Amino acid sequence: MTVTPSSRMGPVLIATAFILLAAVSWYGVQQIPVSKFGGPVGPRSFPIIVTTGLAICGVLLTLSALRGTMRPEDGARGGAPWQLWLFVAGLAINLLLIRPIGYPLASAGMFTCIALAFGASRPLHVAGIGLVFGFAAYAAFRQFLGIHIGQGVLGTLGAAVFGVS
Amino acid sequence: MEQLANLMGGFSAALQVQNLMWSLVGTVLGTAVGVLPGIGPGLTLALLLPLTYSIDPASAFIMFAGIFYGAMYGGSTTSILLNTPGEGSSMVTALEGYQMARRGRAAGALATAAIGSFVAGTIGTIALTAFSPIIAEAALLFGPAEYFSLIFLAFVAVSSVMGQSVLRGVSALLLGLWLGLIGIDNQTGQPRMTFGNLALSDGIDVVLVAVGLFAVGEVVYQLYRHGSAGGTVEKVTGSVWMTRDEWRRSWKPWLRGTAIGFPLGTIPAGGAEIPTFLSYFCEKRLSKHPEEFGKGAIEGVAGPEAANNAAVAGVLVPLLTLGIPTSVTSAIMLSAFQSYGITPGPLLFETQSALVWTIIASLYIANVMLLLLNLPLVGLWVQLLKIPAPYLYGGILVMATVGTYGISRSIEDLFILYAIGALGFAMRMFDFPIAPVIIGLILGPIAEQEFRRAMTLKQGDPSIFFGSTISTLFILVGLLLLCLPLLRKVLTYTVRRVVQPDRG
Repeated sequence: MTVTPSSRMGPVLIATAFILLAAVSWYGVQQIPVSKFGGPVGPRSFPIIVTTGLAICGVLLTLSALRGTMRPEDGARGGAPWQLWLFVAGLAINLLLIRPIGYPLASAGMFTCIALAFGASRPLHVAGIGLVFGFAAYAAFRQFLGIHIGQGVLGTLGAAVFGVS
Repeated sequence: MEQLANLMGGFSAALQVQNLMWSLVGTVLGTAVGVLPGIGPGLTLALLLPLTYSIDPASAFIMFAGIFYGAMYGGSTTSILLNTPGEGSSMVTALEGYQMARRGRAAGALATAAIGSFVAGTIGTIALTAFSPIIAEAALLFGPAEYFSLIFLAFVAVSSVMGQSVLRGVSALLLGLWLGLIGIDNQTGQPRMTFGNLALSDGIDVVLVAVGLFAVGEVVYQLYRHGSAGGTVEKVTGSVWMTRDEWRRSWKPWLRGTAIGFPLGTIPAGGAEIPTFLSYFCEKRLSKHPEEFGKGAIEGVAGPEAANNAAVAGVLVPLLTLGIPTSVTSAIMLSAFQSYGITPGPLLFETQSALVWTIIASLYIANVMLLLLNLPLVGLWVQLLKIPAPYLYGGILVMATVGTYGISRSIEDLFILYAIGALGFAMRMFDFPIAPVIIGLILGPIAEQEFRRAMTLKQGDPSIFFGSTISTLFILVGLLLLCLPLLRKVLTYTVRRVVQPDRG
């Protein structure tokens, strides 16, 4: 396999990320206060070792990326861009809506997006399963483990209609 | 004989109805996650870690042990019937097991896997019972320098043995160690790497990292790579029992698999995966009919399935006696111990004797339960494989939300979870192993503590790590492992030049 500039892009980015992380970490090390009364090895020693290691790995990864020895796994790419976007949309729905509309509904939305992204047909059917699953998980955790996952608007509705929350 | 008395004490606790229930929950859950592709025991334990806030330690560890063992039993079912291994450690089982299933001997393959798992799991647990107190006693002599050297060795082994490249393994490990630095320094009480952010001062939650890497990252990777998932499930025909001939061909591989799996499980060699490969090649070499391999040789199922269960028992030895996890799942077990304020290690057998022996006794019980769950009820587990993959992946992410947001109720955590998921996807894409990140994150703070203690003993002189034979040995073996690929490269290069002198 020949090394094309585009197949180098990813590995170079990863290697750069490691070097950046080492830089951030170095800045972090400088922020650690050192006590005069501490022992010979203070709170900075271990972080310095880790930071140095990250920097060395970053450089070696860059070399390996430029030589083309590191590249994405071979093999066909299966997922189309729309599938990935639908997946991301699912996560975004969960992230943005979990507080306002509650866990069961937000989860159902995310479930539907992800299942459709993976090629499930019949969106309404999927959404129904997502709703049942979301409520079941919510009820199970609340009932058996006493973990209250936010219920959002449903709680308010429940309180208004049935007088419970 | 004191041990036997201790073990009996453990049994009397583990056999209480309530604890049997926890064991049943654990083994059922473990088998289920073993069967389901995409969910492993590590991810499951991570999702259940928050339970440590609400149930007592004995119950939690009985359940965790059931999951740990159960995943090994369940993994074989998927390998045999679907040719897609549920776990890394059942990869080899698919080679011969799926071929057996295609030839109508799925029942024999499932039975040899389940009985082999039981035999190996039980022998492994006996070995664990016998050796752990001895190792724990020996480890009492370890000082901080020996401990640090041992952890160093474990780090190197974990990052060089798993995955394709030592460089990528070490990079992943350092990433984990760095994540472990974030938070309050436990010796001075000062915040580190928090960059003034109060939320970071609690440190990065293990649950977020494990669930982000294993659940979110893995699902995106599946989507990117395959777009859809699923395969055809082979039918289980004939009796779920083995023929006389299958028995005759299975028992030796079971014992050999156990002999390979247990010792390799105890050393930091990455858990249960490598022993299965070794067992497979061993059976292939010893077989009188090597031509059958690849076409459904039962030895190729019996050996590796025994090896992975024995290895799981082996992995518990360094975890309980030294406090050193050698696989992701045991690393997460360690963080469960920490969340109860218990430090696994040599002192565990003294300070938490009742708990340890209850856990060990529950391992025997879990094995019996798993045999019963997996042999007669295998048809039930096959039903799980009928869950369409899109629902499975959707479900994994819904559960990931429960395990993270459900506990903290913080949107920031959910955001961090997805960010770590993106990182996991990138790592998967470029073939970085994920296990070293988790092990580095969990074991890093312990490594630092031992490092500082050791250095303080000798006023900051690093020669303390070469102060004793054991410590020197650990460090040297670690360095050797680190340089092994380089040595191999130099060797093959020289050999090639000698063999083919006229080629540049």
